[in-house]
Amino acid sequence: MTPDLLWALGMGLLGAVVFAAIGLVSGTDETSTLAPVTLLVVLLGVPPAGVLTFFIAGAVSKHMTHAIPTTLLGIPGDTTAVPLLDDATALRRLGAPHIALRKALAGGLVAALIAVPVAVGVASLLAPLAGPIKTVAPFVFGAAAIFVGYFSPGRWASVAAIVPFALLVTGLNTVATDQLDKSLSISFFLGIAIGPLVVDLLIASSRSGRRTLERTGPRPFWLAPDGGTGRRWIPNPLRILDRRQAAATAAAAGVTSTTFMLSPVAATVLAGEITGSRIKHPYRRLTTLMAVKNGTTESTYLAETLIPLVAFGLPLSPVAAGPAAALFNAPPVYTVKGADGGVHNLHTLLSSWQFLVFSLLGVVIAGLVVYPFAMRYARAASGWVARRISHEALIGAFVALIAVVAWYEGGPLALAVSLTVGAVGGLANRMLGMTSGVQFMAYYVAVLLVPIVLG
Amino acid sequence: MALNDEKPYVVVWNDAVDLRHLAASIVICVAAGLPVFLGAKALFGALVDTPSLAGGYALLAGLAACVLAAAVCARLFRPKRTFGAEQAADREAAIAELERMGGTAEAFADLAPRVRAEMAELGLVRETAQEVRA
Repeated sequence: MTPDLLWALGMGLLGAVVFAAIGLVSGTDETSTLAPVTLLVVLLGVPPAGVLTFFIAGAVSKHMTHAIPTTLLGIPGDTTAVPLLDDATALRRLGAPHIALRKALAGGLVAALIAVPVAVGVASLLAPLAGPIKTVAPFVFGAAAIFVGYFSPGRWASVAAIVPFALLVTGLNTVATDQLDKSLSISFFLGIAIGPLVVDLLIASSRSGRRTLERTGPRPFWLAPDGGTGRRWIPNPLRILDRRQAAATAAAAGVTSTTFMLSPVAATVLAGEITGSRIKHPYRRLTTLMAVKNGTTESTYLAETLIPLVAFGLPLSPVAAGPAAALFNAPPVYTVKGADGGVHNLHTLLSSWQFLVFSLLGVVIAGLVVYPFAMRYARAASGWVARRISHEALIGAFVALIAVVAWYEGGPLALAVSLTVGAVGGLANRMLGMTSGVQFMAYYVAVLLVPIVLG
Repeated sequence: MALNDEKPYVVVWNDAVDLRHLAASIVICVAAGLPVFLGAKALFGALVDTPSLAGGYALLAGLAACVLAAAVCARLFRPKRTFGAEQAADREAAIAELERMGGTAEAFADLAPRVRAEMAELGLVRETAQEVRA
């Protein structure tokens, strides 16, 4: 076995286990967990094959276990699970939450296996465009920001807010460059990723704001009974889905893994609308939607990571700019704007074949380790988390994590930058519906396009 | 309404928390994470030749401290969640709900046998429906 393959196996396993655990904790945001941990793996000097497998296995595992709180507890496992929540809740009312979970898991696995080869194939077709795209990249990011903004809940407000947000980033970066002799990037990512948490904490610490927070008694929480999964250790996803569900999931995954500009949430809602409108019977519609929607989240996610990475080496999608950012840009190891002005990251370090092999390996590791675990122990695991892990401890850990990582990049100033971006971004998210995807795009507009416009 | 009727917790980041516990958690975790990171940075900076690698190890140490501190907080502050009675799903209510969504007996008859079997297993079919035997 080559050292690359050993690294890939080891890191894939680590990613699968770590993110399977994180996925169980409901409410953890995709970006604020995947991005910093992947960054850490890059900075620690893991070889490219290990980094890629770690990320893919981690993302797929997290999408599997985040379906557990979504279906069994009725709390979205994270932001990408939000579109599944209504259908999952309806199935819970029908007394079939375990069916909802199994359909979601099976759909996710089928979609992941389809998405990797399709996305790498599409990327290879797009690769000849890489040269021209790189020369106009700053403008492509501008257009992408508008596109992503228009499809966010804020619509035109999000589009309009791109300019002030990009200027804020430019201003803060100028101050940072003045003081630290280097620009910041990780601190901006963290700030955008944890914006909603920063805003909630600010409101909670404000004497007048506190009154606006929803008050509650102890949150009731009800765990659905489980029906058992049969004898096989790895339940065949094609037995859990019926033939038409498998076909619908595969079709949705195939189509969405060729796109890389829509956010996974948007693609999931769209695929759900198209599939759901064709099925009359509510039970069949709901169970099919669980498979199709979770599958679409998975395929869009993988495509948005792999297509820009394989074809361009530039983070030209909401996922690539967010959770997968460290695969593109993690100075000093990877960079999109090196000393020679060129790209130096996984794009230049791995061939298309290696992308295909190591990504599939990541999916297979998640499928062998986390999928059977989630099928079998979902109920026990989510019960343990809900009983043992208080929300206070979770928030404490996240705040400390942000503090440490931002400090790592640039001391107290970087931490202040993170909190500033978090406060402004979080408010824009809450008030205007400007999602973190739009804000990530605005960040790239600030870094790549603003210097050109300002001359 | 008496003042002590007021609900004890607030919703922050989608779940119920006690604000005093939350503040204590944040202080504990940051007070554990940051100093450990800074200490490790000084230590590894002296021991390891490559500065970026030293920074990486320090980061790892800092994050480990965050996780440990969170484990301590999880023990100190219990979750603000209560467990509903684990009643078995009420079959009659579930069937009524299904019919309200449009899952009538006629619609059921149009389903593929496999789906009907799946629903029967869940108890989502009235025994009076002829289709069960089909």
